[in-house]
Amino acid sequence: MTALLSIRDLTIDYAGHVQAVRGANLDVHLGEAVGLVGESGSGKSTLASAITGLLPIGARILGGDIAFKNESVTSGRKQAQQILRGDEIAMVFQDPMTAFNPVLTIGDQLVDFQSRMPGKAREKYARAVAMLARVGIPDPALRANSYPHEMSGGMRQRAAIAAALLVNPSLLIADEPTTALDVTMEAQIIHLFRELRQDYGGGILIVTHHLGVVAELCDRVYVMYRGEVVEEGAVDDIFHEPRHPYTRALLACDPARLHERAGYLPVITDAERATFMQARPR
Amino acid sequence: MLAYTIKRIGLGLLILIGVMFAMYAAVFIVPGNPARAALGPRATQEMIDRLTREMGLDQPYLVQVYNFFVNVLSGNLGIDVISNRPVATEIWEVLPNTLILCLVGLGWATLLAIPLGCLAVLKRGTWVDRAASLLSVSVISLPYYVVAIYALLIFAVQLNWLPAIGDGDPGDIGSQIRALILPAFAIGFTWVGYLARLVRASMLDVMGEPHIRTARAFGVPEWKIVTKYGLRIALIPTLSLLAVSLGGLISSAVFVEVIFSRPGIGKLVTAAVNLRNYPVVMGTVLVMTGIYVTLTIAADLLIARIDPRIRDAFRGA
Amino acid sequence: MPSGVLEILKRVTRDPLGLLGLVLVVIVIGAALFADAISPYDPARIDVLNKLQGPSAAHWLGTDQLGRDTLSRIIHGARVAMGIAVFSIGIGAFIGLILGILAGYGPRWLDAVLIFFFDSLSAIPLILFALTVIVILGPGTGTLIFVIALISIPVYGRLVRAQTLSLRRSEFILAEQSMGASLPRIVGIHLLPNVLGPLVILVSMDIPTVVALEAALSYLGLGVKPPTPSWGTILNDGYVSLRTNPSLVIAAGIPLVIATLGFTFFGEALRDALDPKLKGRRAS
Repeated sequence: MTALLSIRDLTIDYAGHVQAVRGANLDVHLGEAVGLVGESGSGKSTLASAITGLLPIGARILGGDIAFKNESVTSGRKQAQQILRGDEIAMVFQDPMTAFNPVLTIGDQLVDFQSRMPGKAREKYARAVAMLARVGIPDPALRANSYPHEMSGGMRQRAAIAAALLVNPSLLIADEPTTALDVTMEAQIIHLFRELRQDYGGGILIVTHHLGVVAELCDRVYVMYRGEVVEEGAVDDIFHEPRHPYTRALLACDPARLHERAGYLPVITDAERATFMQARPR
Repeated sequence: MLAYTIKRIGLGLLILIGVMFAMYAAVFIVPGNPARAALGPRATQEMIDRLTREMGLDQPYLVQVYNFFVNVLSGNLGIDVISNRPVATEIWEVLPNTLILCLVGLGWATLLAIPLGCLAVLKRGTWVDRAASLLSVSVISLPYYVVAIYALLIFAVQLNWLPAIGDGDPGDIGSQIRALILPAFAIGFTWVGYLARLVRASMLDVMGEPHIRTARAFGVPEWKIVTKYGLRIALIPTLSLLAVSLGGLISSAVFVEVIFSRPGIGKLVTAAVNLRNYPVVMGTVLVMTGIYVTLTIAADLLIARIDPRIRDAFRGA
Repeated sequence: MPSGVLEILKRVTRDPLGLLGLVLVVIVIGAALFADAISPYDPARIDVLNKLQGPSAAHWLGTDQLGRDTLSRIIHGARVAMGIAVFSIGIGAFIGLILGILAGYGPRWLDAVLIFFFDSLSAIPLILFALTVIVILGPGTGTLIFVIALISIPVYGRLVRAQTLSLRRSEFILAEQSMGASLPRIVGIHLLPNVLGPLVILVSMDIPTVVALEAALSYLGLGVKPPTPSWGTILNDGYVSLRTNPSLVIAAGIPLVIATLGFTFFGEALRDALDPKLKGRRAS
């Protein structure tokens, strides 16, 4: 089976000196949900934004290749990535508070987000309302006419997922889709993703620092640490037999996996960190 | 929205009252009698005393202020000491002329500046952006009255394309429009740069916000992102800064009217200042400050209309 | 904050516009300082036989209605313009600084009173305010300085207040307070140096406005009184003889263009040099 998305030896640096991503390899296949985990600053979000060519100002790709459906999107013309956006690839962003334009209605924006799709504005609007209903937003016709600040955080994140599904992408990238939400909302959004996976045939890449999200949603997982992919494998394997010491440390810090009551939450100490970079499990 | 409107208008009235108190305080504190000043050095003490009484200047400070407000509320702004006509009538005759001048001047500047600011953002970092920035800075800093005089010299005196003075013949729209071109150009000149810069700066702020990234990630065309997603938000700070600077527009109208001998508030007030015609000056300042305060309120309400967040913040209040 | 003045100037001149601005500013200030030495004639010398002449070898920029040398009058006009700018901005910025710190660091009610004062003062269109004061005090250089200083106060007051407010909540001031530092120490050692940078930038941006305002009021005959040469009165002389001798009005506009553009370019470059944060927003 050939990969939908295939990243090889990707290296990205910031302002010419900090290497945010170093020689990363990653594959996403059709019908598969892949997790990309790591702590803040591990380079996971940089890697994800490189796929659609939306790297922050100052960042640039030094080497390696990103291929989508066997065609390189980094070596060709700049347009290649732009054409993919909002068509083959859709993104769900981290913060639903700021992901929508505050002075335009949700429906208006959902229509604009279908700019690569055929059809009249009226049809797109009807599609948007139907999709809002599909992601579990009550009274979707009213909500399409609402401004973002009139909706709750969870509802906005549902709307953001609706936006991504509207363009019927082959690859859906969700960048920290639950980070900005409280625990109840997070559970609902995870539930929504699981439900949607049943009739969505494309690939999903979920970027998160939350291992629980990965355990709930993903088939395979990549672990990033300091710009490198340090471990990769099926979710079950990695959760039960982590090979890299960083993965082990990360798992040990997950509050959901604590078996006994501890006085304080475990953290990764500097002494532990010193051992991570020498370790080469593969 | 209604509560917000009332609050804004209340604040505007308060500022207007504060201004009048301050101006009367200034007249009261500062040595020198406006009546004496108006009558000139050859006036006898008797004449001065009589005019002082007529103008109510012999009353205590608070009584003067009270009388003034009572008169203003009944539409009476006092009597011109030179022509003996009501000040309100004199202002009312020339006010439309000044308003048209300001409106047209600001209008053409806005129509040019907003696309210019957007273009600079679209072509960020290129020579187009740099040229637009340089143009804006130069245009802002050049004194508009020098520009007005140079324009007068070139287009009216040397080329003789447009009239140099006046506001056109009564009843002849064509000549009135021709007489408006140079003054409106001079008034709007500074504003092109000022507005283009404001639009560009607030637009650059907006373009860094996450929702712009969302729109880009969905392949919304860049021109649409700039004009629909960016401009709508960028106009909010632009409008509020614009409202604060409207006093400058009125100031420039005064000079432009003098240079082009165009009847209006500016000509009225400068002539009055030269003759020490104190009631006319006070009346004009009150009316113009009132217009300025009204415009700032209008701008604030417009901002509330554009931005649903502000609108809702005051819905319950 | 950069350390020396030289270092700042070096950064200003790295920007071509900043360099141009600096050159123009030096020309204007030089003319103001050495007006007597470099003027070809006495600016007040009347020579009716040679009135309203165009540019010539004897009079580079021609003469006015009274036969006075335009170039000499313009050079001396620089002294008047700079003098008024220095005095009025100096007074306005000083009072604004004090009121701003009072508003930002003092009790809440004082802040409210001062803000209302600033708002009211700047709610009156500048020119109308100036005209009102002039009609009461009578025209003249003193009135002009008084008016400009008065309308500058809210501008500086607001800036200093905003700076003070944000500094007041900053951690190093809170730390000083918790260690029992005295009020003069906090204001003198922490607030002032941090407020001065933005204040200097604002002053340099304010100079072209003040120069233009002085000339404007003098143009209307409400500012500097003749025979003292002001760029505004020279411009008005030129306006009066617009049809007979256009070279006078053209010459009279030039110093205003040089001074306003020069100080603006210099001020912009200075702002970029002193405050790198703002530069990104302008250049990128």
